[in-house]
Amino acid sequence: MEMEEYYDFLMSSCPGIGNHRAEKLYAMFGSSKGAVEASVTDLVDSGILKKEEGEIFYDHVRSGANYQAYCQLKKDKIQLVSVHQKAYPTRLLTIPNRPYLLYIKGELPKEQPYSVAVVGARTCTQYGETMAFQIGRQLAMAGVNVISGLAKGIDGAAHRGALSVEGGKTYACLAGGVDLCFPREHIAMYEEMSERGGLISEYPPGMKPLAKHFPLRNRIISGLSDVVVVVEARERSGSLITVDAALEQNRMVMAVPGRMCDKMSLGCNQLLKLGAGIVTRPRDILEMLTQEVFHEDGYGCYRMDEEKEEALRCEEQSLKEQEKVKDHSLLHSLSAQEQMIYKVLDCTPKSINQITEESKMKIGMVIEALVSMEFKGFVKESARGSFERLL
Amino acid sequence: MLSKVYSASILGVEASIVEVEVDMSNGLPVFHMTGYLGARVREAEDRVKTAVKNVNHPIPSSHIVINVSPASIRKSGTMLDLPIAVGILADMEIIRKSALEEFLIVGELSLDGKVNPIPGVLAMVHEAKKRGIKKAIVPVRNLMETELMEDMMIVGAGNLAEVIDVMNDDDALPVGCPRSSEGLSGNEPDFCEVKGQEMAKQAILIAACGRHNLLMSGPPGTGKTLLASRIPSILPRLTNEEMIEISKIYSICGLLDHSSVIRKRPFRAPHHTISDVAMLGGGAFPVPGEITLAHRGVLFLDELTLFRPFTLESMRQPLEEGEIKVIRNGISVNFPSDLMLVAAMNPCKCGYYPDRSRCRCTDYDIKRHIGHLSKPFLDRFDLMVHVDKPKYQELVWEDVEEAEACKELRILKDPYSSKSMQKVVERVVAIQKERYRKEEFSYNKDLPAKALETYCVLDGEGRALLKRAYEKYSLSARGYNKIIKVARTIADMEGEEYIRAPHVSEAIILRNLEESEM
Repeated sequence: MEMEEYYDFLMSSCPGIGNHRAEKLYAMFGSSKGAVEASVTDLVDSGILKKEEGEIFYDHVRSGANYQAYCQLKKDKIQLVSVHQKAYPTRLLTIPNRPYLLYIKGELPKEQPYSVAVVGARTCTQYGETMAFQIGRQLAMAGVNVISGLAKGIDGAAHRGALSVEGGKTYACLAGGVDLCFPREHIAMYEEMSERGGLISEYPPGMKPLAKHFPLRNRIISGLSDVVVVVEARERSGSLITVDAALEQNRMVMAVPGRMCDKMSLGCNQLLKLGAGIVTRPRDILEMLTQEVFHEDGYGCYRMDEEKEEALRCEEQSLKEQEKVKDHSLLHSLSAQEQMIYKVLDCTPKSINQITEESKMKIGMVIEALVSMEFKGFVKESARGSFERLL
Repeated sequence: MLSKVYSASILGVEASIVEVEVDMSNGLPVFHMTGYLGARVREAEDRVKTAVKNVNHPIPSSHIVINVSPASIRKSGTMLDLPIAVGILADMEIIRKSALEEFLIVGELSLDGKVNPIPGVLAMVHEAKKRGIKKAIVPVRNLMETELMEDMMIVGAGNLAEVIDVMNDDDALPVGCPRSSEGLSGNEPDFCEVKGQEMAKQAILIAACGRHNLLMSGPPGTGKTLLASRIPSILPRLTNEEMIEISKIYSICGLLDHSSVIRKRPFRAPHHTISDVAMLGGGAFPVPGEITLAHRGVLFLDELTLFRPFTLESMRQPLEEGEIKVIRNGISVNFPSDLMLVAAMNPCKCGYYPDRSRCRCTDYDIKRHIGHLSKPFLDRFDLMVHVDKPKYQELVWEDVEEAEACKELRILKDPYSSKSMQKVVERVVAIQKERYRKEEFSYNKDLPAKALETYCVLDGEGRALLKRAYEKYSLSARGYNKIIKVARTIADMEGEEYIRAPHVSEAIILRNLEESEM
């Protein structure tokens, strides 16, 4: 078995041999061992490889460097799962262009009960980030695997949401080797996920996350999930590639709506128009999973253990409470001036000049109110000189 | 026969008095010049001989030796033509020798005897005054720049014949120089012409009050240059000494345009392709660079990220010290560079960040864009303000004629007209002068860290706010001190002794980029 894994590694790490041809070689020679040990003539005669490709393959599988790389891989506790192994995710088996070999740091998502992908823009607004966090959090509470791409913005917020729950599991599909953290800013999250969840890639360790890999890894994100949820996508967004892949793979697509005029949510709204499921609260996703409307007192046929159910209900309750507390403190902890400024603000950033003009207040007072509200946690300086409401 | 004439030569931004000794004797006809002279000085020979001949005083064939002392300093330029000619004429007993030691004589000669203008006349006359020389003969076209020199008789000479007359007879020419129209002309750029942009104007006002360096960031075409060019109009008015100081520099660089002295604070906006030497000063014979031309005024660096890193880095030290020492060919000169630095840049490559509906730059792109600037250079800026796109209403006056008609009124009423702002600046500068009378510095910008506790006392609320800001933005110690300095200026603007929370708030909003944001 051990050797078979090494042969799989040799086959899939060979430059120029894609998933499709790796599987063909496997079928032709009966095993990866057979393919690796085949002579150039056999390889070419099989009609799968051309002469030069056959030679490259032949040389590659016999090069000593591979064994060192393989040992390093084992040392780094990176698992390999090929398409012929039982451990290979069943959801991926049926997708077009399925990866021949998966490299995994951490673990693969459990098959049961559900996995949900949360994807969206890297440059997102406060609104998108909050929504992604809440969705990630509440899905994790319900025991659902949260899958995304470790990118900045929405992806990161969804992962963070899932990790904020005790025992929450979240998985990232990477566009480079699983030993590389991209973007680097997410290194803490990357470390945590290798313990609580997993990092998955079809590229061998050491492979840089090249631009052309990203659309391809999107198919694994959607392939591993039952539902793809899009939070904040612009009209032309990378998230829409994930959606295309999801539709091709017969997955459900849901989207978080944005305002009509909001460019940052144009892609989401477009999806909704085309018939995607609408997410007005995280529970909508669970409903979509089970195709059944939950009753207020239970979760229908999707059997969550009582503990999780209770936790989820508490979370929803506490969010409502928070909302109330905010309304309350809005009235009491903010001065009259601060309240006026707060009303002018929005969940899209506004510059100080704009705020001054709209509130018809003196610039000094506006600044004082903004800084004080920022410390109280009502507003956020999204970029220098621009403020937005915190949700 | 020997005669001595006082003249002057330029070194850096100062002149030094030199003696031109001319000796004429019988012997082989030669014209010999000594005294560490540059090529331009040596060319005087032919000009002088011809000019003297053409004013009807042919030089007899004789052995002429000219020495310019002190012979240890290098002389360059054409200002010695006239003194050499005068020396020869004195030797020929056409000019009386007793008059020679009363006068400073500078000027370039043309072949027909006309006296041509030269750079640096103001500095030369100024130096002569210090040395106790009471009379000066300068080219007539340089006369205007000496108008601020009091207690001196300065004669503008049009040609060599006039010089001979003046030296032989004090009453030959009317004394006194034409005064240029004093006061400022009406078409000064004024802040009230810029609509909106209150935040930026406020930041500029604060910067001008405490002489803080200011960084403006914003999309292209939002008026950053427009705003910066108006900053000199709100700085305190120049004193006579300052005018002479600045005019001397401009005179040496030949930028006075043969007109009057500089009465306005300079505003220099060099292009970003500028070389190090043009920025800092230098050259085979050292001439001032942009930082010296902006002395006592504003140096504006537009498109800051496009300047070559080395140019910016080498500006750090002169900005700190207020002067730069330039050494070339064994000549060492100090150029002053006490200025207010204002810079503008786009926040990212496309310029629209943080407007995410227009800017598609990645975080990495944005970091790389700002990364062109080094942290130590950015540290020179105490304030940073984001200038954003003006609204349409801000862009146009509803009624152009009405706008013109009530301009006078606006200037009076608008808190952000140059006049109102200048009043504030002058008041705050006076407050600082008074407070720092025992110190070596006189602006809040220069407050050293150890003096912060003495001069920047915060009230309880202000202190609490500052503490929270320190934690929230993970400020560096330097960033923290800068916020206090700026808050000090804001408190001064309101005439308050203690720094209160609103002052701190404003300083926080205007804080410079921190390391964590780069």
